[in-house]
Amino acid sequence: MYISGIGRTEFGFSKQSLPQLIYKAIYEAIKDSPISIEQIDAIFVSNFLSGLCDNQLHLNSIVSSLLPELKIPIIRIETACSSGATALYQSLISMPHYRNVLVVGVEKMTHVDNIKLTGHIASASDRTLDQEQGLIFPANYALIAQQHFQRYNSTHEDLVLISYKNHQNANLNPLAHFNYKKVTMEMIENAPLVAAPLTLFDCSPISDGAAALVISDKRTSSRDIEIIGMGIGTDFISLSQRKELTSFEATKIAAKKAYDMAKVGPEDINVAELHDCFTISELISMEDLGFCKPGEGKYLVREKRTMIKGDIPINTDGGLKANGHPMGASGISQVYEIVMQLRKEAGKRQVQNANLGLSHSLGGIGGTSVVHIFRGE
Amino acid sequence: MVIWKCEECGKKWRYEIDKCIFCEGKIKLEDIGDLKVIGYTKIFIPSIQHPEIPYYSLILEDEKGNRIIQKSFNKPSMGAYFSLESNGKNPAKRNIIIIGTGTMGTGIAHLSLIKGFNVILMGRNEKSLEKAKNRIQERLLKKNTQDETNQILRRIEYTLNTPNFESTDIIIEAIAEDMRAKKEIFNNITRVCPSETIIASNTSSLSITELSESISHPERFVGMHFFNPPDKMDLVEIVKGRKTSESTIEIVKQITTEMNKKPIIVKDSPGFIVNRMLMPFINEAVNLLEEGVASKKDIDEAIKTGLNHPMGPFELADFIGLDVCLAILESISSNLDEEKYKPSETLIQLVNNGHLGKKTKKGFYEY
Repeated sequence: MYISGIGRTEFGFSKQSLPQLIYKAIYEAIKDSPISIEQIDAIFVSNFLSGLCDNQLHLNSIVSSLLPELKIPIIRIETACSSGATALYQSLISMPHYRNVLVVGVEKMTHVDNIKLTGHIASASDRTLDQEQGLIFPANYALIAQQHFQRYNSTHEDLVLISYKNHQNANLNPLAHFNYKKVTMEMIENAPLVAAPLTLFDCSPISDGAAALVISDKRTSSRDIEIIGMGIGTDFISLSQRKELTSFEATKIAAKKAYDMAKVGPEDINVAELHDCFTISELISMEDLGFCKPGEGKYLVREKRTMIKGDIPINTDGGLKANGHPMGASGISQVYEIVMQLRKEAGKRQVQNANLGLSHSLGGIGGTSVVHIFRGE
Repeated sequence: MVIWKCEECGKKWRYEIDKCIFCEGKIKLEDIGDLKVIGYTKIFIPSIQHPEIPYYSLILEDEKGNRIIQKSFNKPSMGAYFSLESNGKNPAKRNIIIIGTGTMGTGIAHLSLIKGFNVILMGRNEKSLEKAKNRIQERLLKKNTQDETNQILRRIEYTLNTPNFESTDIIIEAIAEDMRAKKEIFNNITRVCPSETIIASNTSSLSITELSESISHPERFVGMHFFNPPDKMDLVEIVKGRKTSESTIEIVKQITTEMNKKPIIVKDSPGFIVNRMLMPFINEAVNLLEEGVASKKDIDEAIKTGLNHPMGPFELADFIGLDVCLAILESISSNLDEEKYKPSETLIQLVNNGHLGKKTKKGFYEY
């Protein structure tokens, strides 16, 4: 299976409505692909919070309205922040039935009051076990960070380096939420606490945006990127039900399936997009995906190996941290970046010799984890 | 916390189920042991359900590895034992005496129970005590099983007689807003309770300094103004009378945080903070209505949509009780002697006609 077209909007504050954002991403993806909109057999649309933020559900039918008279099967997928990646996964599962499918993810949330929005996002956690106890998402990841620091002597300074790298990468990505923003180490080090030990610069921003992919069962052009591995894992929703607090079991399950299917290992990956909704999750995901041993992610960071010029560049688009995190679109925009890299079209942020790419997306605090592996020419 | 466990295969659930889907084993309740703090974070951003910051979220674990997430306003320490009931504070459980079986007395008793305190609730007659007892039981059953509720109810005693005050941490008075009645009660209890026992009044409108005249050792007397319903509203105004000592304030602050409430210290002044702002606001809404500027419904609607208040002034007044609103306004206006606090005619008339709001099924609106 191949990705024949990619499209996305700028991430950040948008005046456009949810349907407008979806349309823009679909338009870009179709224009990028040799496949026309009439050749699309089905669409998977991913979104997390439009029900709570806009009282707008039934997005599949909204998409139908954007494509008059097409009347093909359209399905909405939601797995919290990994909705986009799960939609891609489901579209691939459906491929024996179709020749070309479209995957589009969208989120619009900057118009919602922050106090409300923090509560809405917390809907991805267990209502009684977590939400009622004030365990908003930054707090979930703060607890994980504390455990990781204790067990492996990783430090907040490692997270500062991750944040800094991702902001620098975003400066090279014209569509990134923080493309315009010059961030210094000093700014990150002096940022206010959000949930100790995590500070503002450990958190991904609230962003609007959409991204789309055209998937085809046959190669349609030399720019196509092949999808060679996929895996999904799910786990207990609440940290209180888990044994392991310094890694995500769901990622390990998803990664094993994806590597086995692709017949490659973590050492073969040339460029990766990891789910850094909080900097600590980039650190932990490197370990869960096998880029290093548990507890050794800090060395990859300190030795600059995850930077664009390193041997395992991570989040070259700026990551969720600085590219932005419109949750329903994030999993798809990660794939957009991997395709750009494997096509050698990433411009200033191009990774040299990028042939195998991996994308990884988390829902909740690792309640869902999705991994895809891609091969360029 | 409740955990259901399969007797056969040992799998655990946090939701009540009848049978194990893996092995059809019987399900029983897991015994939770003593809980220790294994991780925590201090949270600095508010959310709609948790607007009061900062607070802590903790991971607790018993010796069998059962875990729970717990919110607290108290700083936890790693590895320390943690009591869910008193939320971090044990070992010596607080003993609290509450006088008054109305909305607030009952509400404060319920709050104290769920925070792990031992409670004595003192009432005037059998009937009101019985009513309070039923209300507390009903509220506990909303969030607990029958067994858990029975367990909690072992810590409350209902009485008509003056209780034994030895080992009491605090007495909270929450009877009707009547200076003479309150003074009489304080007079009676100070004659029999130790001179250092802290006495607090939940008054919303009377002067703490004036009330303290009826109390020997007035330095241990303080205002402790809860908001309705006490288990949901996070604020407690702690009112410092002229003679209230610093150590009394400190202890009451501590007890307030143990109840997971936010203490705000305020000088004894009519209406304190919240009512001083709120009552003229409600009164002004009635003035607008009298002047025919807009209808009740539209005034409520304007405030809800224009100021993002969850309730409009008329809805809120009915919820609080028009008699309470009137009493507070009268107290503020007589103390501050200003025309702007003068209760409006409509409000006075409604109260005179016995239309006191939600509790009498008629106030500004009918219920």
